[in-house]
Order: sequence, then structure tokens, then C-alpha cells
Amino acid sequence: MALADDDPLRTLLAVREPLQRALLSLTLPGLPMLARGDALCTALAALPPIDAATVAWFVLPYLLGRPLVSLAATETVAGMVSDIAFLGVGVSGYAPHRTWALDVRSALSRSTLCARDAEYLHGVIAKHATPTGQVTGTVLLPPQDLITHLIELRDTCISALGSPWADA
Amino acid sequence: MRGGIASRRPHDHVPVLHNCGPGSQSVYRTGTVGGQVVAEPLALVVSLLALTGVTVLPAAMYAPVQERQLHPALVAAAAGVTLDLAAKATGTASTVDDRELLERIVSGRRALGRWRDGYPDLAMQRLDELRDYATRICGGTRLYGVVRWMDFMSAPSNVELSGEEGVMDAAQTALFHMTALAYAAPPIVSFRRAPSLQYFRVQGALEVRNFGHGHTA
Repeated sequence: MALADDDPLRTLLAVREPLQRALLSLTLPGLPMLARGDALCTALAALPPIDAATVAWFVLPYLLGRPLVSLAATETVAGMVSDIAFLGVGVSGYAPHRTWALDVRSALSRSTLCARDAEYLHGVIAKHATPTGQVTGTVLLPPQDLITHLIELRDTCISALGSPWADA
Repeated sequence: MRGGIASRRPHDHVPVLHNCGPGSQSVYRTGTVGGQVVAEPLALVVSLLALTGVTVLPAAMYAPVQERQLHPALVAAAAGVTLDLAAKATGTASTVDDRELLERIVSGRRALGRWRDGYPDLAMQRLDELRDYATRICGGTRLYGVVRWMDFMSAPSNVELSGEEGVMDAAQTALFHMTALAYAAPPIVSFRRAPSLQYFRVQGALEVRNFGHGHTA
């Protein structure tokens, strides 16, 4: 049976871009809880891994603060951030990689990110964007474009969702 | 070109927890996020019951009754102590009178009768009441963070009273730990669920990592 024209689920499923679909799944009125969680998790799965880990981090407080999605969906999103949050991420390589990791953290701390977000995104970048082996003597530069991209993701999430504790 | 030290803002520093040094697997490790609390159920229950004068529990109480779970009577009694503390902290009259239950606990499992005779229901009812106090005393029942269960972790999880001003601290600590254990379903704690006795175990601990926002249970 086809969805009605005014069914919000039809509106949601018409959005193909994963980030927009993830955010719309949490803001579109009239959606059933299961449909929201399903759309959120499939959208996160469709994002590049580094984007998914970042978006999961920024939507998690909304999921924990109010009954938007099922607990199973909340657990899925929490599972995406828990390893980095509990254990941190090891950076493999040699001395230049260690210097690179310190420079990334330094670049993050100079950004507009709060300490908690900087800490988490440092783990995300280390997990997904550590440079592979390199020639001795080469300087590994911090991925400034990537940092800018992740901060834009944060801004997009916040502008779409508002404060997580506003009316919870 | 990277900026020198003088060009950095005051908060531009690398936290001390970073970089535990080169290991066999990595040259650097990023920091963990948020603050951590460890709730060890056995130590927590023992310390709560110690507040009532029950300093030593019979071995049968924390030997495997149902595999590796604490006896439901112990959980009920510990929840009763927590409710009592919460009532004192809020200046209300306590409705808990566990003298008979505590005597039975001290006398051992035989005095309690079969473990399933009412104690699980009593424990669940009290854990449900704890949620209301957690809302009132701990500033909300929302925990912005993640949790995980560690089978082999051991950590002190003590609740101690130190004078009048210590009642609120003890109540908050007991409430936080008891509700975290009761409502945990790793990787989250959710007060949307019914409480559970699943994580009141004889060994292991619940790690709670809170990400802040000032909304902790």
C-alpha cells in the first residue's frame, strides 16, 4: 500500500542525503518512534564512517534526553561513540605520527569546540584519518580541512536540533 | 608553519592524560572523554548495609544464589537504606522499616527462606522508588553518557556518613550508584525502562562515563 501524500514518512524517505535525513528523522513532526529510529540508524550507516561517528556524538544527547526514538536505536548510536569515549584511540606509526597526533589535538583546542567535543573528535580523527606510513623526515600536517568539516557537522546538528535540554 | 607557544591561547594545551607513551601497538593514545564513575555492586551493597550495623554478611548472601547475582534480599535491603538516606536528605519521614529483614539477612539464607519468595518484587519496587528520589535530589534522571559492564573490574564503591552535612552526599552517591546499576543496559542507562536486578552481581563493576552538560542522574 502506498504512503499517503501527506504522510510525514513519505517526506522523510524522499530525502536522499544521509545527514539531512538523519536530522529530519529527529525533527519532523508526526513520525512514529520506530520510523524515526530506523531512519536515523540507516542514515548514519550511509554516512562516511568519520561523519557517522561525529554525527552520532552530537545527536546522542538528544536521544538520551527525550523519548524520540526507541531505546534500541539509542543504544546503537551510543555504541558508535562508546569505544572512543571509554578507551581513546591508539595512533600507530613512528615519531612523526606522535607529533601529528599532538598537533591535531592542539589544532582542535584552538577551534571553537568545547573541551569534551575536542577530546572526542581527536579520537575520531585518530581512528579514521591517521596518516599511513611515510618517509622519514616528512612532516605530517594536521588535517585542517577535516577539522573544519567536522566543526561544520557540529554546527549543522546544533542548528537543526537546537539545545538538547531545551524542552526535555 | 605552526605557531609558537606565545601565539597559542591559554587553553591550548594537551591534557595530562594524553599520550601514555609509546607502546607495542601505538606511539600515542588519545584521551578518554568525560568523567568516570565505577559502581561495584557488591562493595556498594556491603557499605550500605554497614550503615545499618550489618557489618559482616553471611557468605551465603553473596555466594552464587542465581549463578553470579546478589541475593535479592540484599538488593532490597540496600535499596531500603538508600531510600532512608534520601528521606533524611530531603527532610521527610522514612517509610522503610527493615529490622526484620536485616535480622534475617544476618541469620543467613535459611532464615530468609527461598530466595524467590517476595524479595525480588520488594527489590524492584524499591528500585522504582529510587528513580523518583534521583529526580529530586540528583537534578534529573538523565545521564548524558555511556556505560559498560566489566566482569573483572574491582573498585571501591563506598557510601559513608560523615556528620549531618554528609547525609546529602551519601544519599546522592547511593542514589547514583543504585539507580545506575538498576537501570543500566550497556551502552546506556535509561530510566525509561523498568528496573532490573541483572547487574547486581557478586563480581564485576559498572563503568559510567558521563559527558557532562550538568544533567547527571
